Amino acid sequence: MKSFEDEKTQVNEVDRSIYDIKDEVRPSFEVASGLTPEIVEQISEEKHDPEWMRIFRLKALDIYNSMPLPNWGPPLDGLDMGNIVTYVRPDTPMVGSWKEVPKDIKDTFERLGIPEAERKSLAGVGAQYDSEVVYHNVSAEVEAQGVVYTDMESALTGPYADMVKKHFMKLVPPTDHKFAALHGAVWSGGSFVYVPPGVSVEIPLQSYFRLNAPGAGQFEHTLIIVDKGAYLHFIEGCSAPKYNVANLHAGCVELFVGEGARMRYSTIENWSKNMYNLNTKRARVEKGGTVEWVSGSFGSHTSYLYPMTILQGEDSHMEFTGITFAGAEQNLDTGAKVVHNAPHTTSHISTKSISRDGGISTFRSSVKISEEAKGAKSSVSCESLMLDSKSRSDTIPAMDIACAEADAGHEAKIGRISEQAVFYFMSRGISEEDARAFIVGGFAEPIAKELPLEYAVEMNNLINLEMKGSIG
Amino acid sequence: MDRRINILPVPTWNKLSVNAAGDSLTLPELTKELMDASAPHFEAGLLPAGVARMEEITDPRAVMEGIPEDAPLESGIGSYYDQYIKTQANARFFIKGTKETAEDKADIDMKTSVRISAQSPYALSHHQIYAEEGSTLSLMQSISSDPGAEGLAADLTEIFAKKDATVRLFQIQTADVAVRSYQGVAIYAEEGATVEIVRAVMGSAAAACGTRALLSGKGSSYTLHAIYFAAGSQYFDFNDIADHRAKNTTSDMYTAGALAGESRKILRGTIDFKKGASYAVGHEVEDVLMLSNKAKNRIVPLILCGEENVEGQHAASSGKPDERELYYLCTRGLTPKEANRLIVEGRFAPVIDRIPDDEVREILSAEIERRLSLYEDSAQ
Repeated sequence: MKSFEDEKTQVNEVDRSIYDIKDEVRPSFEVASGLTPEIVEQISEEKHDPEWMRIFRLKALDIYNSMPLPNWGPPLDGLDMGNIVTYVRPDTPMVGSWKEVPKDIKDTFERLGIPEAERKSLAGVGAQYDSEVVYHNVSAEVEAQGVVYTDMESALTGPYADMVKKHFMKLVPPTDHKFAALHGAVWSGGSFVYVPPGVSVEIPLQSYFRLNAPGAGQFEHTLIIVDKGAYLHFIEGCSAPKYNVANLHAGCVELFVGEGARMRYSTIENWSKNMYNLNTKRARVEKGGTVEWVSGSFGSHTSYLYPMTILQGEDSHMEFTGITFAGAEQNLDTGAKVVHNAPHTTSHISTKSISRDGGISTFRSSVKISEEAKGAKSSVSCESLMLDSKSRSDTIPAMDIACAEADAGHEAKIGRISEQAVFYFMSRGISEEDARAFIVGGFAEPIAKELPLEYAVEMNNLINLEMKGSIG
Repeated sequence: MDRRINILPVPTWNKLSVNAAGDSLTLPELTKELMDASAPHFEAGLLPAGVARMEEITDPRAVMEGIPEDAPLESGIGSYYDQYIKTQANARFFIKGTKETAEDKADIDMKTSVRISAQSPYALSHHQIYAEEGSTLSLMQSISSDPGAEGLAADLTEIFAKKDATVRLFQIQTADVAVRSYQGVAIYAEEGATVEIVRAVMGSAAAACGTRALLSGKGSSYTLHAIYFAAGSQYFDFNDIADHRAKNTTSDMYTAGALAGESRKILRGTIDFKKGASYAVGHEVEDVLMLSNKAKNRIVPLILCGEENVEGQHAASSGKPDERELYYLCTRGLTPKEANRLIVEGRFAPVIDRIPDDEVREILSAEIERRLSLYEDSAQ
């Protein structure tokens, strides 16, 4: 028998064919590639922005130009802003019925299972194609509760315009980092959700983002306000076909969780492997509120993704559950950030990462406990699994504690699939590849159970698929 | 040239200010006049066979058989610091461990001490330790100062541990708060070699420590047991790295600390598994007792991994003394103050007990006692 060390499971590529079907690119309008004040003006004009937004965009562009690229994290050499088309308007107005969505776009979303999911298990769906939302619908019952779920463009001029203006890029100011500034300058699409006080939206809302045009950027803005005592579960899904040129996703998510409110934000990111995913997500939680993040990162060429939570109110709480699966050609830098600004706030970050076939996964986190956060508790736990020695897995957590009466703990583990465990399975008549798939499945299970069911199933399939292969 | 010190092996968010040591640890420009005016105050006692002043050996590398010329040796503080010491040191030692030192059962083979005073404010020392195959060598380094004396104490210790050699290094720093201190250690361990560091950092306005262990030989191992107690406005900055490059290498880094007053501390601890370091095991733990709401505690424990067959683990905790423990001790008749003391002292004991020198243990215990009293006074 050969030693285990020589035997490696050959990991196959996931079948991405349903994501890779490309539509013919027929935009009704697109800007030239690159980034100039003229292009930003043009986007602003095309989107009929209010005046404040036009000024905001130009200011953000100035900030973008004055800021350096990050000097940490995965390389961004392959990303040339001069080649990125920042705005591609699909050739269709936004509609509220699937029937009216043009056939090719509809087919794409149907292949991805979006309308079906809506019928089955969602209270509302938004679908964005390239730079604009092409479909938005919310169930009558939810609407009757006073819940607003609309695209950002309508929200900007609609009855909630003031609320949007008050909150837009207040949590993630364009000065935050270079790509937040970029987002501020060229953002388009995305969703606005408002849940009135005390309303509990029992069934999740979902937005699905699809980027079809090659060399384009998607910069959707998601603004969600969950008022006092309300509850919302929001699901975000992303995919794109693979092109040979770099695509860019620099979206922004801002969540305002009111007193005693609870918000759950789930993301399944499955961008194609030419995507630079430089997304910024942030939540501010008031007294007694809770935010729960569930984040699965499977796709992208390069990711910088660290949802951040500011626990602003006493007794507020955050939970982050994440899984990252990095394969060939992928460099996924993911994690979470939390700031404890009030007494008795609690946070729990739990992540798993798997690297295989030359993929690089990095867990990066930051826990900040300020002087005011007496009685705060924070725990971070991250586990990494390496499936071969071609891959890399790094863990880069940081804790900054300025309060004696706070407890903070951190734990990290990295390891291999235990040979004893594989041996045990094999002694019970299970093949080695099945044994390995079981073990990886078990490793990911605590995260999978936090995912919406259909995604959990998809993730398990993904793991089985990746783990099955010839052993030799 | 990058003049930063204690650089985090992989950078993270700049806003956290942990990518390198803060400005108060920027190395001062030293002129020849300044160095000449500073009387060297460096004592070495208990000379074992084979110890030589470095000046007396024209080419230490020639004495160190089998150490590759280009051995990538660098202290945890970084190459800029290493050059700073190598070019300006006013005390240099070359210490060789031989089979004779291995047979000599002395707990400590050699002691060196630096004392900063008004006459000798600058003490920069460079130590090279070369342990021959199968030899055992232990060295104690201490840094202290006259009360109120201002100055700079900085040392660089390079350890070459040949096959199956054992080197133990004890570093004790109890300088006054007018002193800035730097302790850099670079380790190169060959097959089966063991290097143990015990470090206690108590003094200095600002102190930087950085140990980097290059585990280049199969089965080599490195352990670090460290304690620190910062009070007042002291700033401590640590950068400890275990660089696993060969099979079956092990590292174990343990740090226990207490922060009182308005003190600040950054501890970076990195376990780096390079490709090929299969079956390597690395552990790292830091426990911090926060004794003040004004203190700032930053912890950055990294695991970098390019090899599948490894086990790496790190854990960190930060908090005040556990209330249940305090309560338990009080039910046994201790006053809250005594109970608190016992917990703090208990945290340090496992490291202090490793020091095979009664006098040094007493100095450290007294220093902890003194700091606890200061903290208790300020807490009232």
